[in-house]
Amino acid sequence: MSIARMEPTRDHSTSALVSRLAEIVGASNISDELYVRVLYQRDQGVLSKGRTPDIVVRPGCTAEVQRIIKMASETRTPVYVRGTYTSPIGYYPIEGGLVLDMTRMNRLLVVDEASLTCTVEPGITWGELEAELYKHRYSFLVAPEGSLGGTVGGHVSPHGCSPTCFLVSNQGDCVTGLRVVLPNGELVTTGAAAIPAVKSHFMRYSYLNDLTGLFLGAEGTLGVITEIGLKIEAVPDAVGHAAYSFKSIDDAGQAYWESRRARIPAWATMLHDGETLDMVDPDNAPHPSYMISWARIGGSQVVVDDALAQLERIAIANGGQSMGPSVPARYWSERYRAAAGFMFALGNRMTYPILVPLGEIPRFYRLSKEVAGRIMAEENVKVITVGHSCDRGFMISMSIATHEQDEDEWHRCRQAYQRMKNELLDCGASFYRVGFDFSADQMYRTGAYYDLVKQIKASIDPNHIMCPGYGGL
Amino acid sequence: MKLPRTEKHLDAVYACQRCAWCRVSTYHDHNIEHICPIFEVDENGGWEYSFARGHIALIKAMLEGRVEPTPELVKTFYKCTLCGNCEAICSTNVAYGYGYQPDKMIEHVNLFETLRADFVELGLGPLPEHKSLTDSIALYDNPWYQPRSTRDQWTRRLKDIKIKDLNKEKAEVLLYVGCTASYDQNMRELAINTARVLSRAGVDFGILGKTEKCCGSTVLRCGVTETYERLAGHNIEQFKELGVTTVVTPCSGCFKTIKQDYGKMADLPFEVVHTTVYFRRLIEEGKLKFREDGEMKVTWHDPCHLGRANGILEEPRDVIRAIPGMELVEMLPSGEYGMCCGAGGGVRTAFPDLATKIAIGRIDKALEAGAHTIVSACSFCENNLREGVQASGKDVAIIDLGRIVAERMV
Repeated sequence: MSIARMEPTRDHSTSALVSRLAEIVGASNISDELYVRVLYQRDQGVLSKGRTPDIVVRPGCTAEVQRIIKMASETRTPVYVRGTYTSPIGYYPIEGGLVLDMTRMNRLLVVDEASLTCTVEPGITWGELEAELYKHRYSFLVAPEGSLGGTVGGHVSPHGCSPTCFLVSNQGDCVTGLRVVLPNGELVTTGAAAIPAVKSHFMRYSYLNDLTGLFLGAEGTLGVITEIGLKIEAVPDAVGHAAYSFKSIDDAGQAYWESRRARIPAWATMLHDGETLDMVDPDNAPHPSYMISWARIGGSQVVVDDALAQLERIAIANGGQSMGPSVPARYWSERYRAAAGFMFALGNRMTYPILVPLGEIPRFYRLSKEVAGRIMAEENVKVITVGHSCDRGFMISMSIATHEQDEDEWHRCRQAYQRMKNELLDCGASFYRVGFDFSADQMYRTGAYYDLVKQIKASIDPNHIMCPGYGGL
Repeated sequence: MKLPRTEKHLDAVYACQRCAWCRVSTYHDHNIEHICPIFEVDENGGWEYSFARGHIALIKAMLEGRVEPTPELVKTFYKCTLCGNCEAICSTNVAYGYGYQPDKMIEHVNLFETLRADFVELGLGPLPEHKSLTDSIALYDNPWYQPRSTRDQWTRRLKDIKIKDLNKEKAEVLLYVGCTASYDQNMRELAINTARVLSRAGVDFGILGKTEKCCGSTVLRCGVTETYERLAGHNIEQFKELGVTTVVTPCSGCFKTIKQDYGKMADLPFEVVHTTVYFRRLIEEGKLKFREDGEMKVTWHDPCHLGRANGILEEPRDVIRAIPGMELVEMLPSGEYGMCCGAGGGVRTAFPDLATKIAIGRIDKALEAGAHTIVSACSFCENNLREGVQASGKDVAIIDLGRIVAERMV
């Protein structure tokens, strides 16, 4: 299948657009000043230098988003949606146009105890949401590593994953419904609340297709998410933590898989290897060969005690040695800061996460380390590797440390990154997000799947205004 | 655009990972509600240029020649209290959760002060609103065009105690009063109470009287380094010539400037101590004792220059706890991530409405904690918090720690 695509054209000048947009959002929520626009040229990702948008606009409600998108559709102006730009994916307005900064829409709208869901606007940060939910003694199921700065919309839109996915595969699994402004400016509600009389996003799988799923992972290519229904759970009465060291990746991988099969009620897990820890924290080297942390095993005290005992049996049967609860307890306490502290020690990062079946951790982790070792030697770069499970999958994140101000090093790292990505995917791993430079060049591997995605995109967004270029679309 | 001083901080500029922790960072477990005071209250808040990540990105863009500093851009850099909360939480500076401490990669306050110095050099700073203040300091060694001859008038209310003039006789301790406590009628109690406490504890102390000059904090924060360097150089030499071994000051702004900023210019052959630390020392040595004088529930406002910048968090709290009848409650956020009063970095002068809004936020937090009294130890903070009380009409008293100590000591 091949899809003809309409190229965006600029049939209105920027100043005319600014005037029209100012009427929608107010003059203080729009800017085409250069010193403002340069700040919206990319997220955390360092794969690309980014691009400066023509206009930045900050809507305050769904109705404003609708009017903006209608106007963009009429004028065929590219629209790029952003939260707080905390993703390492490399998101940027590749074709200029409008950046829609969603951070003004940051309200917790409803905590619906009846359905154990909450409804939020996309610009609320996970940290803000957690604090608000805690007042009701609730929490969400999955949170990204960048929760302090990152927004709910920013993690939902790519069906985000994180070390907090142990029994849940990703953030998408926690979404019960959406309101989305389509590229023609119309508003669609997905899930049970599609019927106006239904007042809460309590059930995602209603009526015909799972349209919620259509927009999760689309990352703004099919519309603008303006409201999100999310599952919540009661804060557990008791929590426990455990960490074990292992001599081999075979033992560690087996223990990891068995702990998931046993449904240990952990909120977050993480696999570290000693080589990476030695690189990041040389002062305390040598670290154990492999270490798995199970953080915030939650429930009643009986459930927690039982889970900890079960975990001990699993770990010891696989040659594990207890490291006590302090490491995962510290991780839990710093859950939204730990990953950054770990990653940033070596500089900026070009991260490539691959997904593999949980039971195949040893094979793929070994492979990843081999690839990393070879690339480090041949390209003279530093690669660190960490992993965490996500339900039945396991994510291995490989990060190449770079320094943006060193152009030579940056180009070398980019080359190493491409090599690493190709070699890992050739071996049968799956990839997570697509982005612009991230994996768009790998989408050919998905065959008819990608063709269908293109068809859907062309059908919903015929003027091709929503995030053009994203995912190679 | 050449920014010669800022260019030296290139590694720090490129170290920013854009994690946005300096934007909001509500972290329930750690009692962190907000990070940037300006971001929270500015009606234009929310834009990238209104917090540290955006500021660093703008510096990068200027250094790379992608953006020229327009007056509007320069203004965004002065709309910052230099409170350092962004620096405290910065993900590049702390390996949270991993039990090791990496080298500090970004010193935000230093970076932003350096940029302001470049702006001044280029004729782009300080803001017009700062000019009167900085010109006065340059001409009169104080921010309010006051004559040098009246600097020691506060001592007239202390006829019952002997205060040495260090220009005439030696003493173990120099009480460096600072401009606000010297000239501002409403803030003179800082100087008076400190002198009373030192006297009661039997400390051999003296003052510089009419020869005391501004520490230079205000001009340094505004980027007027020429005036700052002249004042700092003079003060260091004066302290040395007079053989001063210990400088005690009740002002957190003066304290940070003399201890940290003078320390960058020269080796200081004297100890610099804030009164909160000195009071605790006197209590531990048994030289200060207190009487029961009724119960009082108070909260402590951490001045940024004292708490975050110098790690003096427990000392003032210990002093409060040592006084019978005092109940200390915490308003959040406090301590390392304590919210600025709103006055710092020249914000109170250039953006008084923002400064007052931030102050009212602190007052509300005190009330939430159940305290109708905010205790602090900084002339800038106390002045601004009082402004907040006046503007909001809220039932909160702002009291200097020195006053409580002076009133309750025996």
